[in-house]
Amino acid sequence: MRIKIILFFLFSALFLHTFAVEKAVRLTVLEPGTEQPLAGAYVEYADNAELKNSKFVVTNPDGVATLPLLSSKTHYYKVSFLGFIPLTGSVAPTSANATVYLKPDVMGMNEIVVTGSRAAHPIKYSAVTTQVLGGKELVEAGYSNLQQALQQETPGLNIQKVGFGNEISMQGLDARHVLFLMDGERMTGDMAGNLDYERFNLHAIDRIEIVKGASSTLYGSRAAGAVINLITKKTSQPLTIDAGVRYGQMNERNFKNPHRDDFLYMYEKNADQQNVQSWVSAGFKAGKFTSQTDVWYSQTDAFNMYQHEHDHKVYTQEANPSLPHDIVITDMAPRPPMGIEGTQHISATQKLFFDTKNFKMQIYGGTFFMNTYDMVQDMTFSQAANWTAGVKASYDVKDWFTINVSMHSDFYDRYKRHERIDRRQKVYDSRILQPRLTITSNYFKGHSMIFGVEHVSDDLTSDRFVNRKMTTRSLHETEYFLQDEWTINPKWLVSAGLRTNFSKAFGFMGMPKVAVKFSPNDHWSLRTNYSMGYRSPSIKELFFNWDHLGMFQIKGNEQLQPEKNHYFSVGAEFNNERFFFSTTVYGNWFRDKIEGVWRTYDMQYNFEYKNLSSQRLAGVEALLRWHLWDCVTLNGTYSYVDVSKQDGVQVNTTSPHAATGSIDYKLNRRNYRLNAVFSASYMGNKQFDVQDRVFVEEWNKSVDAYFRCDLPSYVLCNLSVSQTFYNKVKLTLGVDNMFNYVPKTLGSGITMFNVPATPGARFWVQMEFKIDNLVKALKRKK
Amino acid sequence: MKKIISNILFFTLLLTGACTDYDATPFNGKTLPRKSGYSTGETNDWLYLNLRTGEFFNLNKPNEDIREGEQKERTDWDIAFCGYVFRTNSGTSGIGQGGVIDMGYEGYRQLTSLSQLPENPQWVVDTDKDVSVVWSQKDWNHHIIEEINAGRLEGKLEDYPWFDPNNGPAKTLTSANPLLSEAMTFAGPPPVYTPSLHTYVVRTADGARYFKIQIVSWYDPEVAIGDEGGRMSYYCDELK
Repeated sequence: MRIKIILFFLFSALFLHTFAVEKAVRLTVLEPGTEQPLAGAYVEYADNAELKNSKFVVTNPDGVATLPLLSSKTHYYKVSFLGFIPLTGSVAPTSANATVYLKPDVMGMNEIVVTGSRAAHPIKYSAVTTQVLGGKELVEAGYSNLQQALQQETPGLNIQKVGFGNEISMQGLDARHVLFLMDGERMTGDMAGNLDYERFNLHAIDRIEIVKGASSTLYGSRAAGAVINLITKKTSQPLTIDAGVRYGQMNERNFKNPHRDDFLYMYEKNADQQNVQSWVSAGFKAGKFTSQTDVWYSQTDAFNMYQHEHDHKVYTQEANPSLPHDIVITDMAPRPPMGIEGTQHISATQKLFFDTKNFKMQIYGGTFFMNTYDMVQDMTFSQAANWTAGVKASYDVKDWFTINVSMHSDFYDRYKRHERIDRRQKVYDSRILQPRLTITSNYFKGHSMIFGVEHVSDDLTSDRFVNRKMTTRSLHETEYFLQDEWTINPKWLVSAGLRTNFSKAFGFMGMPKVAVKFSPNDHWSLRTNYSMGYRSPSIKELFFNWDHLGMFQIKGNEQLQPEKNHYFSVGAEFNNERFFFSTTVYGNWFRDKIEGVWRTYDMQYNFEYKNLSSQRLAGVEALLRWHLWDCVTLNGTYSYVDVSKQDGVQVNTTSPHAATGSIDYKLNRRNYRLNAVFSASYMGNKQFDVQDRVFVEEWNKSVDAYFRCDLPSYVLCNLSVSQTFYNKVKLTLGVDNMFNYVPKTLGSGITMFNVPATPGARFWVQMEFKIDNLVKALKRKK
Repeated sequence: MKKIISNILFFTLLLTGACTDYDATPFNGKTLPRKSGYSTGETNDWLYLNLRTGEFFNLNKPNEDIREGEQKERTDWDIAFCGYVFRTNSGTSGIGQGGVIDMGYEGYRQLTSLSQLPENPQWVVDTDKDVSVVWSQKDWNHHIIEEINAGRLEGKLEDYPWFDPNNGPAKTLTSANPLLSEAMTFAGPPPVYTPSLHTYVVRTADGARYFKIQIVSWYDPEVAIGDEGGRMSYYCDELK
């Protein structure tokens, strides 16, 4: 009898198991139009409409998610996928198969953002205005690198060539006030605040979040102007391998037939490389483990920009009240060409994830090597080597309490390398180490709180501190921050926070912020934000001491104090299914702003860093997205900024007006996708004053004076057309600067590089492959 | 699959591996024996060369053999170097029959005999109104003090720094060859010395012999990294 009972239960169990297997629902997730499967979509399901006690599965490469039935009731699901509007629905337990189509999220209102609050929120629930640029969309628009993408897509952001390389500016602030983060972590190796932007692999980016205004409460020093956080990809599929190549027209052929006998053979060869790129992005997910690998190689040729007219300087009475009249001087010598360096670089990153329900861990590492080939025939070129490593872990102690710990490090070395002898010399060595502990809690209803402590250890070794000998200078800061986001009701959201900073050098500081969002209905949001920012003087600003061949001296100032600013903004946002509009009015008041000024003493010019008096920046920004038809979307941005003058002198090089615009055309057919993007960026006229000396004939002597630099407005337009076949192969053709804008003036004196670095119209072609899909299709054919 | 991945990685590594190939042949031209010009402390620090014998004057230090001004009466030199400025023994620089013609961009290897020169070459001789050299800081200070004392300038010495960031170092006119001085141009800061890579033909002081010359770099081929240069590299051979 006992045996019979046991057998009965065994059969019953087997039967139930079989029933359960048979009763699973196959949910197929497809893209409308192309009918292509969406692999890696996240499907949450439960047997109740509220999705309580839900389970989740991820769609396989065929876009299929198998939902084992939890009971005999109707099952409810929510399908989410990056770049698409989440879809909810239900399926009867009697159904075996169901197919759903996700609509593209053209308005981008379902993007998840983290930068504004250090916690994941849908963008429409963020208290702080955040602009999100999708990595996929940036590649689709045909941008070859991050600099080009940011410049074409972000209002008021400008990246120009200056003497030492690239210089970024945003809302009237320079790179020292714009904090670039990679997955929320800082990087080192900057020149006047500018990182090697080539470090950022556009093909590894999931999205870019841009928060303008002071964010020092959450991110500390250097976040006084804006934070640009690049969130990298993490696959959600069992296996995905994407690869691509790009070939672009050369900027300029400088040397026709470099010969090995040429004295400058290596220089000539390096200056005239082909413009090519290749990349691989590979990821796999197996159970709790996920791996993501990204490799990018790129090389570009160097070129010259030319000014046919001689330099022309106007010393105005407005900027120099003591002058007897405006003085105009035309340089006797022709203007030499301005060299734009070529680069050759490779970056590789590896991330490993281990995710369980309560515990998440990430180990990451990356490396970057770059050769920079300038147009200076000085027998050397520049090499950079960078290593990044870190670990992050989070543990949900309770469902309302999470502990996060992380340790991040970044090492950056710069060398000069000989162009005839296999020899190099290190000239710069920078490293940061940043441990962090944060605790998040939503214990109190409606409150999302975060408390954190982080330490930044910043060491810089350079030959420009003491007598051209490699010497190390350090800066250590420990900071605490606390923030609470309080959702009072569905209409009101308040975010308030405070950061305290303590360092031996600068003592104690406190930086508060408060942001309020009011949403009277689903379409409108009003936001206001006050935040205090600060920026500690950099190691260079504190300790630099470099005699430039007896010509001039650049001197740091150990007495510098952190600069502080008060940022205030008010904004309104409207969105519906086809239209999005956002506008923000802001003011940014700085005090003790650190600037470099020229002073004459010891019989030479000295460039010194000083805490200057206050500066006021005020402006307005607007973003517009109009999904005119299913196939056409218009995008536009505009930025106006007014920077206060000091005694009639405008030292800020920003143009008051800047705008971007694009028309995006999409055509989806079964197994085929066409995407054409026409984009334009406008930069208004720039007028600023440059410190100089001028000889006054009436007085028979030379005096310190400012000359006015007047640079014309310009528009750069790009076009790219891509075709995707079977979601496996994509061919893109494009032209950058299609109307062939070439600057006619390069500016004057030390401002000479403040122009867009473009050789004119250049064509390019790009091929991308979904290797995993291709291999699978080939296997099927066999 | 593995093969495809390894092919892609190999391709990427191949491109990277091609970064720094030192495949230039050893330099078989000439290099100046020392730096000359303002950095030695003398504004008119000229290094003279007799192309016919290969002998240098002022080889060890400025004005050691030929003081500024003495060169005018001598015919034992053919060409002189001061920084990136050049003299020939002609015109305002010397009593010789020197001079220069420009044979155009590159073409150094192709120019092998006198028969390739133009039929009636216009030899450009030295002048003292067209070419400037950089003041040495010491000479500049002396000059300014003299000007102030003579009442030709107002103010103090400190009001007239030798270098200003927008205009570069102070310069003064000198006697030099305006055509040959185009062989190297200077721009800066930061200092950038760019050779024209033109081939020039220099006539010697005795008017009897001809040498082709091409300046190829401000630097010597084994210059130390970080060195500001000044020992120019050049090709120079006699044309017959």
